[in-house]
Amino acid sequence: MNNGAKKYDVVVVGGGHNGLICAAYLAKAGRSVLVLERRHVLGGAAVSEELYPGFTFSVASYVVSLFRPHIIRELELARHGYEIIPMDCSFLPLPDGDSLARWADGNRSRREIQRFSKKDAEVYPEFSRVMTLMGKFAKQIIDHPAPDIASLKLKDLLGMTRIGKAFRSLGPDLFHLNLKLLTLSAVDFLDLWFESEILKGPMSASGIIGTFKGVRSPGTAYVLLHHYMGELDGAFRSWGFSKGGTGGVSMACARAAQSYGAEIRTSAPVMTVIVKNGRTDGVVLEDGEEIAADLVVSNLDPRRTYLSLVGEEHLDGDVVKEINRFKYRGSSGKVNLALDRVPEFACRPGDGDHIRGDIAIAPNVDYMERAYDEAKYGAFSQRPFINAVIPSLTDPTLAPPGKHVLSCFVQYAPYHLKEGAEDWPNQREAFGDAVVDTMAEYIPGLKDIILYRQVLTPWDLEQQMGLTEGNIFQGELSLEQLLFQRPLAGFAQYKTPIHNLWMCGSGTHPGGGVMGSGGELAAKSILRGKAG
Amino acid sequence: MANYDAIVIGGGHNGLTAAALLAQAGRRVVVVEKNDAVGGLAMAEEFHPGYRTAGLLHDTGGARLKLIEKLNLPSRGLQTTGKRAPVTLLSDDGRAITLQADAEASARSIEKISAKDAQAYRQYRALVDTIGPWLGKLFSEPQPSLPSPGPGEMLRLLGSGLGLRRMGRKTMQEFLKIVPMCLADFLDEYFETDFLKAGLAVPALLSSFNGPWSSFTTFNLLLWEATSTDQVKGGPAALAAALEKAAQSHGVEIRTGAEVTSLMLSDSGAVQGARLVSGEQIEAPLAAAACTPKEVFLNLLKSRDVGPKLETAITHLRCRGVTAKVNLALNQKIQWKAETEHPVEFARTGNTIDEIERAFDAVKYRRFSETPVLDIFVPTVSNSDLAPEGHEVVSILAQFAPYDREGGWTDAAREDFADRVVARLAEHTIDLESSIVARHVSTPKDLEAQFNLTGGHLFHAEHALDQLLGRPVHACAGYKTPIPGLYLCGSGSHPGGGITCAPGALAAGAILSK
Amino acid sequence: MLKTPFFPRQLALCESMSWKEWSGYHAVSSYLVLHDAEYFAFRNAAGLLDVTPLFKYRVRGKDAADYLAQIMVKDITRLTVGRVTYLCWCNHEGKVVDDGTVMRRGEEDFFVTTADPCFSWFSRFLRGYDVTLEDVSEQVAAVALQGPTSRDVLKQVCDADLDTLKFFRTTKARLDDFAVWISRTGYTGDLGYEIWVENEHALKLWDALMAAGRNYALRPAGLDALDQCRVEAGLILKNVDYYNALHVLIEDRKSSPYELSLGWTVQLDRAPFNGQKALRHEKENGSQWAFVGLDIDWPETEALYARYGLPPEVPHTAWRLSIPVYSDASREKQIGYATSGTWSPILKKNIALATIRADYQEIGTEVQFEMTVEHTRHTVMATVHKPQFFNPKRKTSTPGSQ
Repeated sequence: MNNGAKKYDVVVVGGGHNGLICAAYLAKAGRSVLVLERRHVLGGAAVSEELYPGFTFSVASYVVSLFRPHIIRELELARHGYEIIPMDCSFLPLPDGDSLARWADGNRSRREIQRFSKKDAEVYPEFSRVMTLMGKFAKQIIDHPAPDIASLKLKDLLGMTRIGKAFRSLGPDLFHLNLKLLTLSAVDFLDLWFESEILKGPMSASGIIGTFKGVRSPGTAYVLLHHYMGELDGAFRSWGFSKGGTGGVSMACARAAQSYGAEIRTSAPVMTVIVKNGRTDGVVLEDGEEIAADLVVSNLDPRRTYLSLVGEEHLDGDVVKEINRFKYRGSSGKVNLALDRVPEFACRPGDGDHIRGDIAIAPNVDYMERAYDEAKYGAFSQRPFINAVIPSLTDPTLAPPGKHVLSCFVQYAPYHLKEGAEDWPNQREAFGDAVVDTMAEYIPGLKDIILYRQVLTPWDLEQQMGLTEGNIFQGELSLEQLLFQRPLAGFAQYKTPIHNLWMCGSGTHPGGGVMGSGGELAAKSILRGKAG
Repeated sequence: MANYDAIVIGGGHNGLTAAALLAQAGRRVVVVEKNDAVGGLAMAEEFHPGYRTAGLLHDTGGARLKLIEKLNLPSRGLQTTGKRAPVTLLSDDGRAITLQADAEASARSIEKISAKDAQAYRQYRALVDTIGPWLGKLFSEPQPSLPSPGPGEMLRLLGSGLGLRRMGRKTMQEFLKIVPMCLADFLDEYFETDFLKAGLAVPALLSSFNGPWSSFTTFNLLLWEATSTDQVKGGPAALAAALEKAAQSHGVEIRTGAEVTSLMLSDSGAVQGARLVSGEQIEAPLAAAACTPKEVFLNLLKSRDVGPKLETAITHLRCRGVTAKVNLALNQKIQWKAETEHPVEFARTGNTIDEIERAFDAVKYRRFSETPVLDIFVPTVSNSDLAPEGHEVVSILAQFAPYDREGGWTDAAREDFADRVVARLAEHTIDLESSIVARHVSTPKDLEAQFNLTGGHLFHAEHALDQLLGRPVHACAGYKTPIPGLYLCGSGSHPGGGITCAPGALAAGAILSK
Repeated sequence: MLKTPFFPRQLALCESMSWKEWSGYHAVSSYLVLHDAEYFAFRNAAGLLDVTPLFKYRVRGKDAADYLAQIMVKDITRLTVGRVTYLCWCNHEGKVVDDGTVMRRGEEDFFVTTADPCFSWFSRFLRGYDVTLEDVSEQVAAVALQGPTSRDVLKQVCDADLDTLKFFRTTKARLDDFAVWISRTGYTGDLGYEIWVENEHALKLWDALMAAGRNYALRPAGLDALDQCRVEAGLILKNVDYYNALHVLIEDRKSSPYELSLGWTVQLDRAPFNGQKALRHEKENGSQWAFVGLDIDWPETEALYARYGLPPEVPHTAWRLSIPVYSDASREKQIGYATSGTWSPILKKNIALATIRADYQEIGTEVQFEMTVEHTRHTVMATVHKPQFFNPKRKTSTPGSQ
């Protein structure tokens, strides 16, 4: 325990996976680092908790897909317990008793899809080809800090040149397709290849995860890329469950950080970042303890960083205006269930491989869009899009033998209910019921085997995890909040207007998901800046 | 030996523009038009004996008259007001705001409703007036081909990049911030009055498969603001009439009732002429198509001549029509509930952003809106000749009405939708229903049949960013197509649809520069 | 995994339990642990191979020939009824998408076989044609009956006049109570037939052929034997010797027909077809690559192995690897790569199929083929050969018309 007199090179506020990664990189470079986490557990939204005796849940984030492979390498995370169990199948039960399972085995998927459309079944490899090429392009963007487009600094001009070159190297066909990818709705983009509304249902779903948009909203297509990013790094089959739940990823990051000498304190909520004359030299905990540091890095979202930790009084009016403009409006919730036995789908019974990957309640495009329409006007979806997983089928450490955890990611649950966000506690159980009712339409005996149920609304995510408005990505991933505008134009390269205060969370470029890039790029920017 | 140097397919205002400019440069040009009169969506139509419209479209504010100065249209009767037309935004509670070309006058109108919004409107106009000239220029000249512009284009591209930067770091950042935003968010940042927000959103959503909650719709609003500069007296029909005269005076032969069934190609695949429905063949080594890109490539040409790549690209063009047209003949002047300073020539309904969004929701499920959003034009305000003395013509572009309505556009469905349009208008007027002498309804399906408008889409292809950059598809983005001798000159080409004359003029420029 | 209609018989016969996946079907690699007997059946008697996993389409209608002519590099309008043709088809860049055969069963009735699923590709060109495209892959089973005695075997079981059925012709025939289509085609480069049958009659066909074949040394054969034969015959294999241009990530992995030694299938001067412009351009300007056979010098191979005190070793089955080919023994200049090869038991040659720079394609050119002996890389001399190493007279001869 430090005695309060020790001065650290860096204090990281928030022990989410990005904060831990940032700490690990900085500690590895020889900095003395302290991570301060408000909760009793580490991981932020990437957290595993035993909510019910014997049952461990990935409380919020539930699958790992985008984690940057070079971070695993550079921080030796595998040695520290990072282990991903690949998911083999994406399963789509349908209300009419049919179902669609998409497998890693191309021929098997083709035969499943051709029941709905022969053309779609065959066009899949063409789609994959294009997405892989686009992913290659996107990689050049997400693996670097975003250059400031309005800046005339050499660093930014070089960054722009790099992006310009990447664009030109696409050639006209891919350039225009890329334009479509950035601006189209997921459905319109998928329409370029596919005709089956049933296939497009679950495919389009990946475009709206965590956003307050529908599958037909322009600007949702580019998220489809995420499915193709992993393969590009040679990290094949990168979609999977973290062993021991998603918290396993955070714990591996924490152990890595500690192995390089970083200190980590839990149950240590930071109240403010000390700001004097536009610079910071430490933080104050809620209990009054002051901790001095040369640098403070915030893993919190932009609003909390700027307005809670720093405070309006230390900021320029324009910056406050822009920070207030940054949109959150969380749109998703989680329902975690402990089950007495394997949930069986009426359309494809058994505990086979089809339910060992992800299960989507997204029977067609219109269903997805209707779910959004309800949310637009301030109500949770009565029949929501659900992405469910039963990780205990592949990771027996999560539940007692024969028992299972069923984790449902649910959309839409708009933070801003028409009755107001603060009405969520009154609607929480009704929302949970809608989710269970929806699932029970596909799993007839579901209600009889539920041992425990946890319902997390966006309100709860805000209260428990400190995510503003319950946004799981620390801010909407819409184009105007990405790249050089995440979170603010002019302050999108991890720096803030407060000297020595940096940011490293999902609210910075390249954004949300258990990717680790924010933490990594922030640390590298800090090290570069301080190298001289 | 061909009698013509060029055939222009389609006698809409872009076809006429291209034809007139080509003929003025000495080319022998024939325009073939399917309908019995030229003008296309700018054509005056007698929809009931004694009652005529001033064109299917309403807005002439986007006409790029600079591009056709050479045609000297004022000498052929064209008159303009020199500024965009005033438009009245209607609220369900009987209030109204009149927006005018003059920002200050508009702000004063808003002030009666909300002082805060009046101030916000000044700021809004300051922003669009800063960005407007730059954006308007981009959409009034040929577009550089991306991502690898030619040497000359590269200079222009750098020039416009600098132009953007020259507006200042803040404005540039603001522009880049708002382009991807949805109208709902963007307008929320400025205004508090619901019907003002709704009314501002309407022109950005014309013929758009988007609602105000759809991302990138702010760009459409900026584009509309940037290009609305002048108004033609007498509406689109007056512009079409002047263009027709100009074309004829330069020797263009105009053939109406002449529908093209296919383009004739030589063995080497070059244009040789066009074949008409009558079987007649018109020979010419060049064809400029003012019809929709889908009509050109998917109807007038064979799959084998188009080739797999272009065919796929054209097939994927999005042109989902969502706009229906309702023309009303009234036996008295229309009486608005709201008090307005001037006679109302242009008006918009749409009480709240969410009302428009709900209207849009319907088309996603192939239904029409229960409460449609109306873009209203009363052409008899400035041209009383269109109806008997004391009578009125009301022209309404109503959204949203899906092209592919579930259950099809039966007569009953068409009338049902028209009833809702009339009912919506009746909410803002007095004694409307009893004064209706006749009404004429065109669904997107009808528009497709009448004007060969693929999908019933007024702009030939949706004004989404991807279809505005490299429009319609990059292989044909410079008006030239991969088929030797075939050019595009309609709304499906840069800078897009609406009454602009720009694709026609820029295409003629591209043809003549060969 | 799917099972073809012949699966029950194959399962009973497949002593080695050596199967592989072929387009999602179980397919026998070799019935016995060593496939040699099956290879020699193809070359000396007859082998019976299940080729059901091929993709099969029927194209029918007034414009069927025009439609196929647009898709294919060959002018299908000139294919007369009863004829079969082998060809490939290209994208707009003139790069190969797939290869296969087209049979004209009637004036307006075509049967197309492909290596990979092509329904999506073919259906993109239906606009404006009065034609129906039907995927019959899962309704029609097929066997290849290949080898010198195949005609005699097939004559025993059906009523077709096989003595007059010429190479690359097709005919309808009856067996007992059901009809089949017979085409004189195959993938062994030998005398042989492919027989197309509705699933429901498939086992009867198999049984009839096996019974009739007893006197002609017929035996069921697997894919290992076929692979050896097809390399000897210089027949290309998709995803081994070339890739679908629609699926590859880089330009270098695309091939034109000329680069696959399929230039002879391209008929340029006719109505527009997919890839025509690009193919014409390539024809006029020459191709970068050529597809050739390599005759790998045996004495040099022997000498090389001798340096290690070993007799020459060659893989037991045909191989599918990418092996560099150099201009000379210094290995400084790579001029191409071999993609398949085999020891040819009948020619007693070590042969390979390779893609090499066009400047080296002349028959007889000596190049260097990389060979790894005792974990050490060397090269041996190889002579450029046409891809077709084995081409017996019987393949094309027709007794009834002589």
